[in-house]
Amino acid sequence: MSLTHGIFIYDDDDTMLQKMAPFLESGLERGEAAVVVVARRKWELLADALGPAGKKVSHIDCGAFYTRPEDALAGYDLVMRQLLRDGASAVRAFAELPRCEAEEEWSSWIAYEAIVNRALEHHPFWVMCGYDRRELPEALIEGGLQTHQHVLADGWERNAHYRIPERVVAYHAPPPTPLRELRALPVEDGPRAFRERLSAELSKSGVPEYEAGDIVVAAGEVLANAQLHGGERVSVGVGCLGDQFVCEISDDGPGIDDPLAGYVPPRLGTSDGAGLWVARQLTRRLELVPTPGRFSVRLWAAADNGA
Amino acid sequence: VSSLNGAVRAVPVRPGEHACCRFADAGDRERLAIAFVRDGLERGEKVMYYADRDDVARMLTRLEEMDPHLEPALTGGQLEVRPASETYMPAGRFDSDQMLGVVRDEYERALEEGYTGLSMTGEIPVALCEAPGREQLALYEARLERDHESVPADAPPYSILCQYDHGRFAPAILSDVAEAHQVDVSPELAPIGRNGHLAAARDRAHDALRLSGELDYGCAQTVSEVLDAHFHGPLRLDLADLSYVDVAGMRALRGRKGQPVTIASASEAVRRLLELLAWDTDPGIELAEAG
Repeated sequence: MSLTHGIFIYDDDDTMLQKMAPFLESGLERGEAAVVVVARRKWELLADALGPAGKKVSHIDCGAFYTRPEDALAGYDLVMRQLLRDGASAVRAFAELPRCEAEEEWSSWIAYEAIVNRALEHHPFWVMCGYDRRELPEALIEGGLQTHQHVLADGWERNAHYRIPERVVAYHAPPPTPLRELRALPVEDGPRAFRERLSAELSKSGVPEYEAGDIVVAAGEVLANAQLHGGERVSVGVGCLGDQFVCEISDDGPGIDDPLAGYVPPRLGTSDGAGLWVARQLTRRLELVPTPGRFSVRLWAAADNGA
Repeated sequence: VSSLNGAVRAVPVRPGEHACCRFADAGDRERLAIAFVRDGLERGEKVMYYADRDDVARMLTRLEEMDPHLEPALTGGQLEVRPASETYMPAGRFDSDQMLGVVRDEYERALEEGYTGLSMTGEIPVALCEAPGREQLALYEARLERDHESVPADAPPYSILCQYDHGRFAPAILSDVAEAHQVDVSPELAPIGRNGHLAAARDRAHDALRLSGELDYGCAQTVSEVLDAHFHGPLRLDLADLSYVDVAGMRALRGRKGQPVTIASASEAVRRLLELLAWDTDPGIELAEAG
């Protein structure tokens, strides 16, 4: 069994309870684990409807879980790995995205829903994404229809609106931030010296220590990719744009043309692409920027530089 | 945290341990010894260096060349350099009682002088290979190890790094000597130390390979080669002193064949990467609990 990623669109609590309570119950009866990632109010309604069976369901607050797509992907992967290790044969989940106001926010969650189809495809995971018309903007619901292979209406149906994840992610990727000239950091004398230089730059720019440590690890992974797999000429530039610090690592190789690069968690026994996964996990914003003849990865951090 | 010019402390010997270094190359031994010296100095300990050179003044110059930061410690007396042959073989012969006495006296003197402990490293004189009393070497090391184990846990630490030239001492002596040390910086680990910010040792007491310093894609290949050539079967790793590690570095620890490993102890950096790589639920990796 592998991933089943479905969408369930509704506009009142009764419909939600009528569909979701039996969905979770039948999983429990088969010995599967059950997880619910929704706001507290809906969890209380569901727990009430489930009765004693509700005690076997784990609830995770959706606001705390869906902080950003990178974290949610890692979160589901971890939940799955732990439940399977602890003996579950499969996992069912009912999950709802948090409310979001700004377009760039929902755009990133549409991309997230698309990535789920690849990132979690190997797990025996049946996740039902609830889209509550009362809470979500129409554009997000439309995006939801493009990113789930199955749709729950009267029964389960193949979703005709489903589009391949790479296209959806590419469409929703924000354009790269325009940059002025950056200061060059030498990279020829090895990764250790590079880390020292980058640490000094981060500290000079007022990037808080905990974030600076993460950026150093993330940049190390990106530089490793560039130097081990990229083109001949690798260069690094750093600088500040307002209150943002940026480190750009470029090479003249073919670059990465997979819009999902770094979003797919490493799987057992393989570590291909793990460097970019680590870099994305540790960076608040990571951009892949192809330009003619060069390919760049940009890592952003918050700088407390008085700007 | 650290400074440039390669002066990263990658010391696979912890405070209060009795270790031997058996590298065949003098440069490899020297690099490790300097890191050990700096480590002791930074902890505020007295550091004694017994150099197997005719001319101690030249040894001082050499030390200062290798690490300019040692100069104030030499001037201020925190670091002392002595000729090894006069200490190990005062009358042209080696005597284990006499040498144990030296170690005890130096430890007492360090504490009297107000230091927080003693770090001591000696280049076992090559002349000792032929000198009378040489048969007592392994016995001396075994007694030193017992002496050392009897130091109460709350006493100021004394750490000892005994340097043996692998190419000069008889294999039988060396194997007895190695067995008498809790920590063995064995010859095949030398390549790992050559980039200066990573070092390895065998922790004999816990049957583990210890790595300390920074393990990145620049040195991952070397680590992988050493593991493939010299470590077969289940590997037990002590990574508590690995302050930095990247994906290529972690991958190297499983060798080319992705062998199962036990991580007996892990630093914060290692732990974080294990989680990010999903190795914390990998059945091929046994991870000892935190703390």
